[in-house]
Amino acid sequence: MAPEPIDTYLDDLLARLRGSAAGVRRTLVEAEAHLRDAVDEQVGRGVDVHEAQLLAIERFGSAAQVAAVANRSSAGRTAGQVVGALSWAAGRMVAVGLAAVGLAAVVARVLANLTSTSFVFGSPADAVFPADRCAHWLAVQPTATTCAQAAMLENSSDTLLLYVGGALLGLVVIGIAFAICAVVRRVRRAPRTGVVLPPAVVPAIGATVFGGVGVALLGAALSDVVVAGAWGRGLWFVDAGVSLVVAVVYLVRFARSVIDVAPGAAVA
Amino acid sequence: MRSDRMKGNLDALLLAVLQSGAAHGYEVIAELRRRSGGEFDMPEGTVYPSLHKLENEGLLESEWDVVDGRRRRTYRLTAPGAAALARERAEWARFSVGMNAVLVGL
Repeated sequence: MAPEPIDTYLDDLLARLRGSAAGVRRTLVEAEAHLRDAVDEQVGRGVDVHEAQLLAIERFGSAAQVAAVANRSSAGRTAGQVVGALSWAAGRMVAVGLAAVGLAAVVARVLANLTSTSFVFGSPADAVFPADRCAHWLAVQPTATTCAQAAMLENSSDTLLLYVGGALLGLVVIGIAFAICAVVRRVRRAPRTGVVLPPAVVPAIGATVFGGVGVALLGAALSDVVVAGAWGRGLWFVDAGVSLVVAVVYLVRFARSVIDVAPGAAVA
Repeated sequence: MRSDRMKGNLDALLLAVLQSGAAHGYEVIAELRRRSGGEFDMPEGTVYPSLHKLENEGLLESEWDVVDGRRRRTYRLTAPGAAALARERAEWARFSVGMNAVLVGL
C-alpha cells in the first residue's frame, strides 16, 4: 500500500529540517496537525481525501520551502545573539584557562617534590645574578645556602602565589560577570549558547586554542631543554601538559557532538 | 499581495490575530486569511517559524494541547507581546499616513 501524500511529505520535511531534535520534532508535529486539519476541512466540503491531502500540502508550501524558512528561524541567530553566545563561550573558556593555570601551579609543585625543585623552578645554569638581588632572595629564603638556590625557591613560591592567586582572582571576576550576564539573559529571555551555536563549535574552538597553546608550550619546553636559556624548564612541561589535557577534554566533547551514537548505545 | 511585502509585517499580524485569544497554528493562519479577505495568502508552513521566533522573543507563549485527538501547540499573547503590538500599531499608523499622503494624496 502506497504511503499517503502527507506521510511522504512529512518524511521529506523531516529529512530537510535542521536544528535541535526538540525543534525538529515540534515543527513536524505542528506540520502534521496543520495538514490533517486542512484535510478535514476540505473533506468536510466534499473533497476526496487524496485530493484534500494534495491541496493541503500545496497550501502548506513545498518541503524545501518550509524547511528553508524553518532552518533559518531555528538557527535563530541575529548578529547580536551570535556575538553574545560567542562572548559567553569565550568567558567560559577563559575561566577554564584560569582554572588550568591554577592547576598547573599545583601540579608543578607536586612535580618539584617528586623530581627536583631545580628542574621545575630552577634558574638557567649560566645565569649570573646581581648582588642586591641575591641578597634579597637569600633574605626571604633563609633555608637557601646559595644565590641560585634562593632564586629557585623564590621562583617556586612566586609561581605558586601568582598562578593560584591570579587564577582565583580571575575566576572570581569572571564569576561575578557571569552572574550579571545570567540575570540579563534571563530578563531578556536570551536563548542558551547551545541553542544559538551548533554544539560542536565551542568544543572545536577549545580544542584548537588549548591544543595550540599546549603544543607551543611543549615546543618552548623542548627548546628550553636544548637551549637551556629560561627559568624552570619543568614548569614549561607542566603548563604544556595541563593545556594539552584540557585540549583532549574539549576534543572528546567535540567528537561526541559530531559522531553519531550507535543505535542502542547508552548515552551519558 | 506579494509575499515579500508581508514578510516585514508578519510578526505584527500574528500578534494582532492572537490578541483575540489563544489559538493553535492552523487557527491563526485561517484567521489571518479571513481577516485579510484572502489577501494575506502565503505558504502556510512558513508561518510557524515566525510563531516560534515570537515565542523565543517572549512575545508569545505556547503549550501543547490535545484537541479532537490531535496534538497541537496553542499560542497566546504575553504582556510584552501586547506591548510590542501596541508599538507596531502606532508605527503602522504613522507609516500608513505617510504612504497615503505620497501615493494617494490623502
